[in-house]
Amino acid sequence: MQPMLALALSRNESASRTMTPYLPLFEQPLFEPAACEPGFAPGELTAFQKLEQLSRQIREMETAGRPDHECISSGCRTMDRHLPHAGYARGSMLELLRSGPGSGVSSIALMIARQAIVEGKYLVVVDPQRQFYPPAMKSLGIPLERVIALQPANHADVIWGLAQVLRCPAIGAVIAEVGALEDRVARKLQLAAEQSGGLGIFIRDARSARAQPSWADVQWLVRAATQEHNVQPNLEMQQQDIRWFNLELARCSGGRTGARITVGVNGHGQWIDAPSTQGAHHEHASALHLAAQLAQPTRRSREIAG
Amino acid sequence: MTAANATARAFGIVPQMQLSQASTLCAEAQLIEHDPQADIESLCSLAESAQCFSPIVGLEQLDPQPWAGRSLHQPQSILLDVTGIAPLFGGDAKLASSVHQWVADQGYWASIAIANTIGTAWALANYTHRSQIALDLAEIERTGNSSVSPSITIFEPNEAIGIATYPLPIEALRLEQATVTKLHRLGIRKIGQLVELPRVGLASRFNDQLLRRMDQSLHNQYEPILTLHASPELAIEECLEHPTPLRSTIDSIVTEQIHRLTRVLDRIGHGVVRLVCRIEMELNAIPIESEIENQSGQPPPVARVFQIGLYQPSNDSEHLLWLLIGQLDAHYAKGPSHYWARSISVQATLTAPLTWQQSDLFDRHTTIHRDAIAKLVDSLSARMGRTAVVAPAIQRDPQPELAYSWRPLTGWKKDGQTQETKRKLTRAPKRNFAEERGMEPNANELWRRPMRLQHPPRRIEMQRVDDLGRPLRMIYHGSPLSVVRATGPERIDTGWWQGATQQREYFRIELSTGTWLWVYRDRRGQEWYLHGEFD
Repeated sequence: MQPMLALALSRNESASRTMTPYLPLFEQPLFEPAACEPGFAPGELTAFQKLEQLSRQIREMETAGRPDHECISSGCRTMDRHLPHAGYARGSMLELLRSGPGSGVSSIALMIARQAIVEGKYLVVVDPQRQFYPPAMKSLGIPLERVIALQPANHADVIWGLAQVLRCPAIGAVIAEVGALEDRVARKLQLAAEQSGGLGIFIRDARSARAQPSWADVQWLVRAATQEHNVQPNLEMQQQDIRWFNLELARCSGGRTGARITVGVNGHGQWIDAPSTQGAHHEHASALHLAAQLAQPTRRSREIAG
Repeated sequence: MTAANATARAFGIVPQMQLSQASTLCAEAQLIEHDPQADIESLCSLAESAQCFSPIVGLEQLDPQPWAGRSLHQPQSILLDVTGIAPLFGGDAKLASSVHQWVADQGYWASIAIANTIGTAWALANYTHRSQIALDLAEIERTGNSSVSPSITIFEPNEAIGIATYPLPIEALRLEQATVTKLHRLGIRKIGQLVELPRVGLASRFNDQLLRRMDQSLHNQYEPILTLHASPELAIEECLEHPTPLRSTIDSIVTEQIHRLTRVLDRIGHGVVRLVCRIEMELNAIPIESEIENQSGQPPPVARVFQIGLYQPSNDSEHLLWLLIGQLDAHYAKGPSHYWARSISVQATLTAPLTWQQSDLFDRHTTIHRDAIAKLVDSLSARMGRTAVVAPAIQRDPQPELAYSWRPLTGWKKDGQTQETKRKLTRAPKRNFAEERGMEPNANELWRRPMRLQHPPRRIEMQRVDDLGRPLRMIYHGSPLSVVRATGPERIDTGWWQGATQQREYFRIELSTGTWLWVYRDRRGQEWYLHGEFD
């Protein structure tokens, strides 16, 4: 029962918590339950600290193959806040689960990939159906001269191509739509990504992905939000052309799953934070600094194409 | 129009006609987009495998301006140096007919000429049977039988009179259209007429191309063949005493040859840009009868040619070997064949100095990643094929499906030279100011174009539309959904010069499920189409 109690406390606390670069798996409870136990000596580790230490060790062992501990910020403050290290680790895999057709998964994938292809790195889009539309990529601010598309004819070529691409150090991000992956194949891709430091962004169908294991560090379930249902934009936002997305953190190694966020992307390809989330406690604070956020969008400055 | 078959010609459709004219003549004509890249690829591989007739094979060298009488500015002839080779085949006529048979086996139909200069042979091959060729092709198309009598011209070197006596038009001299038009205005249409004019006058009135071409065709002036294959030291061949079906033997020979090749290249400081591996085949095993029946329609393979085009010069034997083995894998995966390998050769047909470039101040990152990307693109193209590894390009066209294209990253240039793909990847796109005005949506308006385009557009059922023509309710994936918001219309009309005119009214619609779609109404047929998803 004690860990449950601790989690409940930390959730209450999260309203006032400032942004930390590293989110511990178990946050420090307000009171130490172990301290109440008889025979507790100061200086010894509590059960929570032990657990945290162990989980940190496991994470370090798991990510030992990665090039460095540098992270790719998603460019979206709300999204970063829910990720360990405030971003996606280089050499890791990210899965975006599509809840239905036209839900906006590709846009989110391209928005994240845009942040990963800095310093002259390339973006590879695996697109067997030849559906990706370059003019839209261009208006997202992705330099098209650093985009390579693979249009393989069969599934075997998709997997082979992915492994080759992920192993290449010049690749910043790879976007691919994959179905079920065998464990061995997924592990191979994971190792390939770790070797080069690229970010693998996989788009999967939500229904099938839930039934299958995942090798990704982070899994977001993407739903399209309608303005009427989920978001009450203020007057300034209504004048802009903003599309809203509901994201749910379905899996996050080193972080907490289950978090739900609402983020928007405006017509200039910039992330917009939602004016009000479901939790009532955020309302006052976000209403105060909203104007400042719009003036200084959270995404990093866009690279000049060419 | 670059080509039309006999049925199309019967309707009056001829090459060099506008697409719109052609569709007026015959609305139900089936149109296939011309792919010059595919043309040059197949011509190059045909030239590479034509080495069974001559060690010196090349493509015709184009001028900057297209020649009169040619509709396409791309190489269309293969040149072979057959000096001293004809006796091996039993004379010029037999050599020509075996070349014709070989070309026919490859599934092509050619016009062949043998003469003592390139200019003469080119003129004879291209112009002696010009009208006959059209008739023959129509005959082949009608009957499906390629055994029509070959059109072969052999110009005896000892003929004293020369090519001027042949009734050839002046276009046979490979001249620019401007020169030909000027000569036509003077009433000169045949080579015979041109020869009678004083040379001094020609020199002062025309550019030097005319005199040069006349010398090449009429006066035996030397003209080199720019070969596609390697100089002798960069070609390593090994003939097997007994033909082998064994893949492992072939692999070990190829490995040894590539190592030897890279050692030679090391000495001269060059790297491979293009590598060709030829495996000569021989019918060796006793074939099973059913297989013979299956194979009866196919030509017997004389040689298998595997080609690798590299992205930048490389002298890394492991890399080259890996690329080549990948291609061999793809070939041998088709199963055992009763054609066994008789001889194997590896040639570096194009090399370039290995250079170390100093990186620019602002382009540092691009330079860092260029080598890695080059190797990646090479290996991906080698396995998946060059058309599967592409880069996007934006085109200035209001019609959404024509506003972009995917361009292969490896391959040949239009004139048969190798593509400098390295530059293609790292080059910033040219800034086109005209493009930035109005034609395409403002770059700042992200949600005006979908992330995924449905091509071709899919017909959808729109259940309700309001008075202003905006969609209210539609069937999507089988279930009726109401449209929460529709943004538009954005009207896009295409030009008459692109075939059938398109008149569309685009809407971005938001369904009750949150899905955003890009739909349009065809203003002529009043039908609705789904053209993309804001996925």
